[in-house]
Amino acid sequence: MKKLSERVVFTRRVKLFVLAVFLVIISIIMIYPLFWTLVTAFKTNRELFLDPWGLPSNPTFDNFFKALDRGNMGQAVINSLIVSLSSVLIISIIAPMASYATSRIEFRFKGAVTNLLIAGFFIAPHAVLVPLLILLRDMGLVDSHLGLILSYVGWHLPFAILFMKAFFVSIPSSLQDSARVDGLSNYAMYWKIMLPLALPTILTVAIIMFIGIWNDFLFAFIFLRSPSNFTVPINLLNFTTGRYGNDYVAQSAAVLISAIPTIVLYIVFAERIRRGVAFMAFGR
Amino acid sequence: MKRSSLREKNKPGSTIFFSHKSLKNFLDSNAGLILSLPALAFVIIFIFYPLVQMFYLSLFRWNFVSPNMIFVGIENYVRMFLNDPVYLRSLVNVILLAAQSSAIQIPIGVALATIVLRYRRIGGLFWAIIFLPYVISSVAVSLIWTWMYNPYFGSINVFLRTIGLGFLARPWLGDINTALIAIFGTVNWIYIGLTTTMTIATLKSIPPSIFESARIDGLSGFQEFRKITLPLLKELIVVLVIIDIAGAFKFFDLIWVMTQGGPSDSTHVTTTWLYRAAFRSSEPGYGAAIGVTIFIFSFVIVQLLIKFTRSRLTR
Repeated sequence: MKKLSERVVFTRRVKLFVLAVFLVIISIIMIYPLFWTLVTAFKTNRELFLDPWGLPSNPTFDNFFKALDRGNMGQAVINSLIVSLSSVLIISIIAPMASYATSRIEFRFKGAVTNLLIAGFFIAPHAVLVPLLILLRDMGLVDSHLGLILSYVGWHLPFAILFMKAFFVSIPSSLQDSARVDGLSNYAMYWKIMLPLALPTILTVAIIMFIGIWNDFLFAFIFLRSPSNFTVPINLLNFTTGRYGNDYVAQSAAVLISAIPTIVLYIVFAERIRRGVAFMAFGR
Repeated sequence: MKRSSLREKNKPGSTIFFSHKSLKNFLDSNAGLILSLPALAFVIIFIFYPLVQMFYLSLFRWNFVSPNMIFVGIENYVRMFLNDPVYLRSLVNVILLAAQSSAIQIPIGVALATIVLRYRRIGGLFWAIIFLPYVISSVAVSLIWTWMYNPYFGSINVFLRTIGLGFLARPWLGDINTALIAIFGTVNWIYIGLTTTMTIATLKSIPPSIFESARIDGLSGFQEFRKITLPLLKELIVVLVIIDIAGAFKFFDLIWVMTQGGPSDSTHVTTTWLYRAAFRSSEPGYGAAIGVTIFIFSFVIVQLLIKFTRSRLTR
């Protein structure tokens, strides 16, 4: 009897040990490349080549200043803030409106309008790069932040609307009915009742959109021409292929600078972000 | 409607406000369309207009600047499938990408998700760690992994030399035999956290009482997984496979930054080949034609996705 329970405890311990080893290995694989970049950003190129695994003998922030200044990362961060925040602001205003309308109001062509609004979620923007560039050229918006912002809004709206629809649909209709009895118009109902209720959902969407637009490479890569307009990801690539192509330590610093805002957002809003992103995969 | 018109009749001087009121009435009865209008305008101008234009452009030979576009019918499509080995190779790569993503990320993701949910305290931290790469820009991630694979200071070669396997060291991204595999490694590194997160979201929708009673019945972790979790995950797995396929057609940043489709065009996917054709070789017509195929391939997949999730919703 005693022997049996000892064996149970033993196999359980072995199992837990195997599990722990598995988790530690995966954690190391996930963390190591980021940690290596962090350490490298404080080294000199000489140290990097002589001892890739060594610690910096004289850690300074020189690489960061170099990336911000000569690497144009400072300007890029400002550009990215302008583009991301403007896009997110526009999306946060017009997406809840459309989402509320297609969820809670009956109107003609409602089905068609809804389909048009969310179909874009299932279309790869990569497919239409050529006509999109031609459109921006015809509008005189190539190499401008405005062109980039408008494109981001257009292509991010479907997900934002889809995500918020899930919320608006879930509001009990009794709320809407009692408001209607009180004589509220559709607009007053939206402004006084629905919008305040939707604010947490809008925040979730805004955070996810901000991260997505901050990180976006494709549109900036196709639409922007002059380095003074570059957003962070394209500037990062430009920095690593240009004159500082062999300055790996400064590039490491630039990579860290590019990732800091989204990592901070992730630390603060981890739960919201993961919930929203999980929805993105199942968007319907 | 009727009530308000009655009130207007009874009210003296209401005629002055009549047009104002009817305008208000008009606005309110069309509120649905009016509130949708700004979003609709954006979507039509920036998604659907280019989409239609894409089909049109794909029938022409052009160079972006010349005033005369030459109508060539389906020539671009014929060339793509009969006379462009790199395009066909890119399709194969997309299929490989989707297949390896499903084969590697789904089993690991499902395993990690069950672990995270079973050991809540340590699991939460672990979940936070494995999802982290997903919030970092793909360009930054690509650069970090380009350094990991660097032949001189890259950690992978340093590691191999340290453990006495130096003969395996190579320029991973420059070697035609390993470039694609190296890229796949990075892809899995980024998306394993996403797969895990989606699995956790699905498993969390299962009432916890099921797991509790399973534990009371004395099911081991593995039995619990096989008897309860796996059957419930079947639908999720189908969805994940579809997402991996659709995602493979949307793949661009990583490959462009890490290899630009090289060496010898062996790592191109359809999107990078579209970029090369349209913007580097200045053949927008051909690029648009590749775009049409991307749209059609991924649209078919998406229809499957919608059909599947809808049946899931109405079950």
